[in-house]
Amino acid sequence: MYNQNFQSGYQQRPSYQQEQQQNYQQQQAQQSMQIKNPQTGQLPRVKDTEMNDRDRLNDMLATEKYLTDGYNVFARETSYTALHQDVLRILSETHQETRNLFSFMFNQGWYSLQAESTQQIAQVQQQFNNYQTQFVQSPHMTDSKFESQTYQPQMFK
Amino acid sequence: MFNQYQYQQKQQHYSEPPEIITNKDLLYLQDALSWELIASKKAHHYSMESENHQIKQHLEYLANVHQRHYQTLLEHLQPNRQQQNINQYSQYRN
Repeated sequence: MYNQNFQSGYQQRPSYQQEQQQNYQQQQAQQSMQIKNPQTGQLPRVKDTEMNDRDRLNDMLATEKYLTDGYNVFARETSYTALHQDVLRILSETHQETRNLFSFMFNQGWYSLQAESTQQIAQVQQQFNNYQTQFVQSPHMTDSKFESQTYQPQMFK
Repeated sequence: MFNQYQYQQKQQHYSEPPEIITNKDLLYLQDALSWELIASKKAHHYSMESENHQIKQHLEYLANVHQRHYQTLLEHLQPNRQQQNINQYSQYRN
């Protein structure tokens, strides 16, 4: 989700494709809007070869993302329950730290998000509303008073 | 916990694996311990480099989180634990 705007604050010459993308985004911006905080201005004005604070936080964010991938597989592959539960808890806490870093960076004004247009959302909503006819049960039958909903799978400790 | 195994033995059925580290568990534990160690060291290193108090503080906090995760995983590798659990398991199986 927030990978796409990863480098949006850097003053780099955009490639042709990026320019096309930007033109498209500018057209979209007439209908939608950008979500971004003002930059706090703590970064050096001229970017040099040194790592700056944003680079450091970006690298930690990449590390946390990598860890969540690893722990997801680990949690699935564990044998005994106590290990599974410890790994699952670490996975959850690592997700939380990924989120904390993202929030921190968003607060610094290092992320910009683009709001989707209402028309585009309405179109998708319509499409998937129509697909609901493909379910065996009609929507009102997912109520708990129906017998098929009272079944619970057996929980193993 | 082992009473549970004993009870289950009469039925010749185990609803879940015993607390014995498998070869696969150990390989994943090794991986995860290495990730946590380097994540903690890196967060601490970056915290030393930064001059922004808020960022330093957050990075130091992250270093602690990863150290705690490291210790949680290491608990599973306590030397006596594996042998004890294997003994218990074998006892109830025979």
